[in-house]
Amino acid sequence: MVLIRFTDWLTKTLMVIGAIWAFCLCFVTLADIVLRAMNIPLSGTKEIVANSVVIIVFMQAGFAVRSGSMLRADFLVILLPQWLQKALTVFALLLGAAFFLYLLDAAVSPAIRSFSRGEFDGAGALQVPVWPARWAIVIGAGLAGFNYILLTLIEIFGLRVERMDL
Amino acid sequence: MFDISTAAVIVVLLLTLVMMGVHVAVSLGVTSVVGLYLTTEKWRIVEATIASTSAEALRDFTFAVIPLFMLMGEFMGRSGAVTDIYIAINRSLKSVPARLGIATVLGNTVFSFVTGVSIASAAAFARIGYPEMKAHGYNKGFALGTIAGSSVLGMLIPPSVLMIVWGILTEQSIGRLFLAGVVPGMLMALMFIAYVLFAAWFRPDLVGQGKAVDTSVLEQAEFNSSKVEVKPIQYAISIFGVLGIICSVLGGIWFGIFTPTEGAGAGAALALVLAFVKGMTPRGFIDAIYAVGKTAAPILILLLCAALYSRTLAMSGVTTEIREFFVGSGFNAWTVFFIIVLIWFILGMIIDSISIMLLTVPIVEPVAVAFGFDPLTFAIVGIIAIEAGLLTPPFGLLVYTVKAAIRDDSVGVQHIFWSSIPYWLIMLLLAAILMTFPSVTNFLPNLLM
Repeated sequence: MVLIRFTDWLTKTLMVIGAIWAFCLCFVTLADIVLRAMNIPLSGTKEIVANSVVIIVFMQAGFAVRSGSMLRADFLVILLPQWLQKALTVFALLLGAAFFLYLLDAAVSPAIRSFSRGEFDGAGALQVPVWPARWAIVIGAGLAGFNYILLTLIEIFGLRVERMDL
Repeated sequence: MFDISTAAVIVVLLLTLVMMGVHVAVSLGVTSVVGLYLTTEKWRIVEATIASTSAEALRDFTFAVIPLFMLMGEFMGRSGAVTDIYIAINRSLKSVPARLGIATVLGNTVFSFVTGVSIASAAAFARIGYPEMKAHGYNKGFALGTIAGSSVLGMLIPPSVLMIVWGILTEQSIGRLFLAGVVPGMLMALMFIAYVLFAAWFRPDLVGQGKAVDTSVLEQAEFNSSKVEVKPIQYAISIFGVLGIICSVLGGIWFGIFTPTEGAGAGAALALVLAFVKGMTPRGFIDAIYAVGKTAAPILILLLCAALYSRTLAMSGVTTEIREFFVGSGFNAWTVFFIIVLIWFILGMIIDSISIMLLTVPIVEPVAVAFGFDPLTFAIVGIIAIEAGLLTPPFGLLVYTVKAAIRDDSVGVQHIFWSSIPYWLIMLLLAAILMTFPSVTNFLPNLLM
């Protein structure tokens, strides 16, 4: 339970930071337009925004899973008997865990390599490091995978856990 | 290397997983992993592909356009400016028959220019437009059908999340797609208005003619537009604010002053200012930012998994094979087009529009282009056909959204579905017109870009 409380706290915190980060992007792009109009080009904006998208998405992936916002089609499933519905839900959740944990496994070594070699994005004066985005994938995929396992346990044992929302 | 069993596994496995209720993103991801392994037979390559796709597919300036346009729509929605505009349209149409229905269509048209998703329009107009239509004795099904039907304009008139996704999937210019949607969107709004007038002419009871206005309904409503006193200065702020943002964002994109992503960023910042001027609370501000995180993240994860699936399709040769199959089948272009639209329409009844695009567009777009269809027109027609599915049972998302927003047990989902039929028939008719006259969609893009 302590572990669940901790990961739920982490899931929410990452979601909130991601949301605020996304909000800040609108000022980054606005500043870019304004400064360009004043003939003071701000280099690296595109790279910052591009890398931010990856980081934001993976920061929010855990929340999307935990809060049940991942899109699914349940039009056929709801016609099935209760026990089969439950079995299919468990199967779907385990598959989700398997996919994200596989992604975690696949993303670790590129992330280590990117950090140790100092991989950069963009050319010119302002180069943006790529390793934060690479590590965001590792952390985000890990948290998403963990939350899928958590949802599986909740489904199997009928645990009474609050539905996550903000 | 192509091999028919791999192709079958890639397509059938995906559909089976989706039907079994596995999350669409997970279905795409798992199918890609299996497909990549069957094609390359090396786990090392599978791992390298999914690691590089997740790092690179979304690491693109263009993708930021999705959360930024959503942010703009959220701030706009919370500013109340659209409600003011609806009231203004409604009051200026005083002597027109079925004015509430027409005001709903026109209000949706304006709202469509600031929002990228239809669901937002459906929920907003169910709340602001429905109580008054009910008080004026409108047939409830007809009133809600009009709200659900006209909310599809949200996806056809720029900015539109569906256009952005389509543009990313087919590597077309998002600015051109935005422009291409304007004339068809206006045309659709006019056809909807014509239908409302037509219905009012032949069935005056549908729009409550001859019935006394029941003000008690309005008294109970959560939002009573006839009671709202809007000062002229508030009208002016709303109208000039909304028009100003629309013109600066879309104008800037079309005239090449900035990219769609920059336009979305600037639009979000301007909408924030408007929302604060119109009295958005700090709580509303925080809710808006969270709402974007909640809706944008699942869509971007879906896009990421779809990118992985597209790579798998390309590596295994399935895309080429399907295109070759259709080209060599001897079907004529219209038969192929009809098959594609039918597939979309049926899928639209069971899954959401973005998932449909991600599942089908990478496969059907090359086929359509091979048959000589204009890519821009095909995109707009595709969006219309997929959106039509949002009004049909059993998954008609817009109908459920409207139903959930009104909290009125006296009208069932089936009534709304029934009243929505004319609207999706009009949409399919418009799709056919656009396919026959591709110059309609190409007019503005060729004129301005």
